[in-house]
Amino acid sequence: MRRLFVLAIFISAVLANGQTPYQTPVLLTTGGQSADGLFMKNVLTKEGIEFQYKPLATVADLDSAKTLIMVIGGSSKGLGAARISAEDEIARMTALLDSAAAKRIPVIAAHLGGKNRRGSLSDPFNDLGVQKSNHFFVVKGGDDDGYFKKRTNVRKIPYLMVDKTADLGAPLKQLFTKPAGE
Amino acid sequence: MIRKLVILALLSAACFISGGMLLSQHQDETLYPTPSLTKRMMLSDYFSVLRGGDGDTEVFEYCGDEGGGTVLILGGTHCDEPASYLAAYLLIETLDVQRGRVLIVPRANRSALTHNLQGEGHPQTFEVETLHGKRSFRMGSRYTNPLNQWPDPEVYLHSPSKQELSGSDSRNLNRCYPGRADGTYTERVAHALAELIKQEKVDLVIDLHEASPEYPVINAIVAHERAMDCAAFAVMELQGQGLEYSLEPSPQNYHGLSHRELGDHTNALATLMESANASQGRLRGRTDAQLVVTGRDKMYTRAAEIEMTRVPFGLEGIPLDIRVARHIEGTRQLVLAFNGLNAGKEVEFGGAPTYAEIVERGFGKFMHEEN
Amino acid sequence: MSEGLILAAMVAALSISVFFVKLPTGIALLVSAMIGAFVAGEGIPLRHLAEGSMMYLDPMLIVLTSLFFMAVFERSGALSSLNVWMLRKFSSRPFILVSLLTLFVMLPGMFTGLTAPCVLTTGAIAAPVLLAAGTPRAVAGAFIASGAFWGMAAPPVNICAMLIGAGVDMPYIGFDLPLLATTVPLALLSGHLLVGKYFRGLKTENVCELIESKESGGALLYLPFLVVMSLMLGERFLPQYVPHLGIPLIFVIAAVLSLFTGARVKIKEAADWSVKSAMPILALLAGIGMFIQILTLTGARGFIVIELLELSEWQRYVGIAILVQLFGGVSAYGSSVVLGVPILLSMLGQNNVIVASALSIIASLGDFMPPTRLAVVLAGPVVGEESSAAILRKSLWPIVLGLACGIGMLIYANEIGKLFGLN
Repeated sequence: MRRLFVLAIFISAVLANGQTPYQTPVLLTTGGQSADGLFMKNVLTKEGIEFQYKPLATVADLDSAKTLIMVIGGSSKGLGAARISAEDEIARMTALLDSAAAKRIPVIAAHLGGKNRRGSLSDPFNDLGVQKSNHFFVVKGGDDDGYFKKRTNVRKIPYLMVDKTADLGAPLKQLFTKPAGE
Repeated sequence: MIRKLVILALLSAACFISGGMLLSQHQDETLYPTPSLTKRMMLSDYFSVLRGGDGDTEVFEYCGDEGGGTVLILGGTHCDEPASYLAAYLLIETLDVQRGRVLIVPRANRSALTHNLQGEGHPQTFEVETLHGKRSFRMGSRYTNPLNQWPDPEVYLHSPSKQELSGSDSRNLNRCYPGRADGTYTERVAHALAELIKQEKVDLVIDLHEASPEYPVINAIVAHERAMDCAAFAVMELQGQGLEYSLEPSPQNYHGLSHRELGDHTNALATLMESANASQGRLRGRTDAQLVVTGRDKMYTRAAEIEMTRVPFGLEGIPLDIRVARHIEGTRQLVLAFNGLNAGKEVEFGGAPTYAEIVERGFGKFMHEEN
Repeated sequence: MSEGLILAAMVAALSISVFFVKLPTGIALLVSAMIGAFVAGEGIPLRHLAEGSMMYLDPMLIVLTSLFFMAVFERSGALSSLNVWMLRKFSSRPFILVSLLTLFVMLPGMFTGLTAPCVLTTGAIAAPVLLAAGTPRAVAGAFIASGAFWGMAAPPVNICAMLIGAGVDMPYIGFDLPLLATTVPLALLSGHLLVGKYFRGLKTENVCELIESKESGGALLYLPFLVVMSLMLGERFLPQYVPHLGIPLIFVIAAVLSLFTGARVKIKEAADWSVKSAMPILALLAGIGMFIQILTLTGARGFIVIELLELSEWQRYVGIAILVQLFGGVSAYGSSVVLGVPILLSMLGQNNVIVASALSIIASLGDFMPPTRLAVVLAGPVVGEESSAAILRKSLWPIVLGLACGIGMLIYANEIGKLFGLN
């Protein structure tokens, strides 16, 4: 809670300063090792947002980043391919998210995989991601039961649902642009 | 004595009749390539040991006027997955390549089309409505015909990984890559396909498949790590069209599959596509030609209600038209994504119907028998 | 006609043919398959029946050739000689003897994933020892069937687990330890519970008198058995040196060898005996193939699977215990593929390796179950017990232990998985 408060102050301070808190370069990673991270990679490439894609990013990778984007949702094939257990992946995510908060690096969480990335394997990653982010995107199909909506409401963070991944381009671009009027 | 003779005569007659039926399945369907076909080759052109045998299979080459990259489309790796070879047949009969080169092997494991898997109760053939009336196609098996490779070992040791699989997988082409020149029949076919890819400098491989509706990787593109960017672009485009697709990485510890071994052992980007085929599932009800074509099955509708399927499965089923349409559209988007990432190696083709056209009219209506 | 009714018609036809008309089981399965196809409106689907009858061609050849090998091997005097040696060496230590006999019977199954080679090779070797110790024929049959069942499920080769894994693209990795830790102790326990009491207080001299040949023969006598074992193991562990011949050919080679390594064998008499013993089993295997083919064709197979999957969690464990095993009675491999794969898919949150191992053990139990009762039926001629039902009645221990082990592993799959360091 306290961390959240600090971050809120930080964000409002930056906003008051006329700058968006979402600066480049972005560190793009996954939370659950699904291949969905590549979709975000495509969107960022298309929008010309500077980023580094590291599916297994660690705390050290945050040094050179100003925003963290985490694409959440688990994939057993992905975890297997990365040879990492679900527990270890949760630990990696927690360390990364906590470190970002400590370094005042804002976090965008995105759920892109629809129904396939929900359920008993994915939801521990999904929960962690949505609980420790400052902005949340979801592609239709991933939140039919209001799972994310409820959590973002409680935490009072922005929530945006889009029809398809490609539609994320514009809102993301806007996030990384100075607020209007500046 | 008379009784024994009568029984013997009856049994002989039964064997004779059923033997004739089984033999009838060795006849290849005639295909009618478009005028844009530049060469009709055999797989044995790349590995002569196969010449003349059941493992030798046709390779169709379509060259554009402008140079570019080379795409290889594999159908009929598993011949109880009809959308895989029908999509390849449809491309052969509609394709018009303007740039680069498209190679199509519609019956990758030709032997697997010559029999049905015992115990599965599959029909030998099924019919599709075309502009020229009904056209009949064979339904085959997942495995090489035991007449070509027998007996199975108890344990199939994949080469070179030494991975252990059940013995029947030694006749599964998609567990035999990269193949062996001095290996089993199926390993030789796999080796020949790998040779084709190397000798023709194929840039992108698209291996068409189907899977049962309860199988975890379905309505999906599976890609080797080098092909992930290309596949991700294609999946996003397909999702953008409202088609459910997921992107799956090729597992690194599961060997013998095309997307793993062709990616590791050749320079090509290796991808594989899956659509949902009720007629190969374990939960299916009555198994007949109707099921293959309409994809309607009340057992799967029940299964979907208890969330045992990985795709929505209503009373309308998942017809062959939709499955073929997905493979055609998936192929198109993979090629477009490849073009976007590989300037100078573009492959451009027309002629093939769109997803919407196939779903609306049925793929049979686009097949040409007068080419 | 609905799939449920077709299934009912097939089961009714099978039961009436077996219990009232007293047809051999193989023929009864053919009748049942034909009736199933007929009521489903398929007429007499000749092609399907022919295709189905060939489904188990390989097991048929294995049964036929291994029976022939055993016939020649026994007549060469090798069996009695080996038995005398075993009894001399271990009769004063009954615990070790029973344990060794159990592991010995299991051995071929561990490398082939089949029960038939266990019952017909090592089982046949163990049989005279069991009988000499005073074990009733039916119990001796149960002991051999039990060893064969555990051998089939034991690593390194468990075909059922491989088939289940193949259905979900899971490589056959990580199975050895959990399967070894469950099958071997339970096999030993089953063995001791079955025959332990007959071996306690055994006197070597009394026993040896019961065996035809009192002198153990030369080492040459055992050569055919060693050839069988080394070809089977060599193919697996030294594939670069040992060619893949297939089990039937291995048995034929060993049988021919047996003609030259011991007493003179009347080859025609041995061949007649083995064909006569094999015939009902061959008919049975052909019948099962046709039965499964028609079950699938008519949709009755899918009906069974979906009924099982629609059960609630606890009902499902009971359903698995009954259905996977009973279907295994038709075919253990068939049960693994048809029921095992969907069950594994419905339990994806659980440890896959443990769930597949558990299902493979339950499916293997099918070799005790009607209609085929393969392990039991094969054990009959080996121990000279006419009634396979009598052997089945004595096989309660392995069945109960196998079921308890399988269901326990299903329920505690994750916990057990952690125990073996599987994620």
